[in-house]
Amino acid sequence: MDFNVINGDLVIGKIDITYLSTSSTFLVGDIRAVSLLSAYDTPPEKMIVGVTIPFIE
Amino acid sequence: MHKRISAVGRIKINTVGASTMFEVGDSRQMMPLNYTIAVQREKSIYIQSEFNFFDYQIFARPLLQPVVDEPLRMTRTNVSPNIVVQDINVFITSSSSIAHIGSSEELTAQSRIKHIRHLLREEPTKSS
Repeated sequence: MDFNVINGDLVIGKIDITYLSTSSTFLVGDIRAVSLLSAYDTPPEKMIVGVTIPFIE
Repeated sequence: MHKRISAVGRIKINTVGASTMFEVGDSRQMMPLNYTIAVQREKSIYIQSEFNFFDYQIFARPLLQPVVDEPLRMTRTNVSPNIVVQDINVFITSSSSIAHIGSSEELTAQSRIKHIRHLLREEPTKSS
C-alpha cells in the first residue's frame, strides 16, 4: 500500500489537560510507531464480599 | 523520517507526579509501564503488603502485540516545518505518564489495572 501524507500548517491555540495517568502519553511532535497495550480487570469479575479483613503479619 | 519542529509558546504543568516524565526535546524510544492494584473498601482500613502482584494473573499474562505484516510505503510531505501550540496547561501527570514536546521514534505503552471492591457484609447464603 502506498500511503501519502501531506502535513500542512498546524497551529493550535490552547490545550487544557486535567489529568494524564496510567501510561498515557501527550506528545507534541512526530512519531514513527505507537503500540499500546492495556489489561483491565474490574468488578463484578473481582468482588470480595465478607466481614473478615485479611490478616497480614 | 523527516521530523517537524515543535514550537510551544507557553506550557504550565502544575504537578509532575510519581514516575512521570516531562520531556522537552526529541527522543528515540519510550516504554511507559504501569501496574496497579486499586482497592475500594467499604471501610477505610489500610493494611501494608496486603495485596501482591504475583497473586493476580492479569500481571503475568502476555499481552499480544498487534502484528503489522502489510507492506506499507509511507511518504510524507511537510508543507510547514512547524507544529505550533500557543498554550498548554496540564494539571497533573501521574502513574508512568509522559508529557513530551518534540518528536520521537517509538512508543510502546503498557497498563495493567486490577480493580477490587471489598464489601464488608455477610456473604448471602445459597439457599436464600
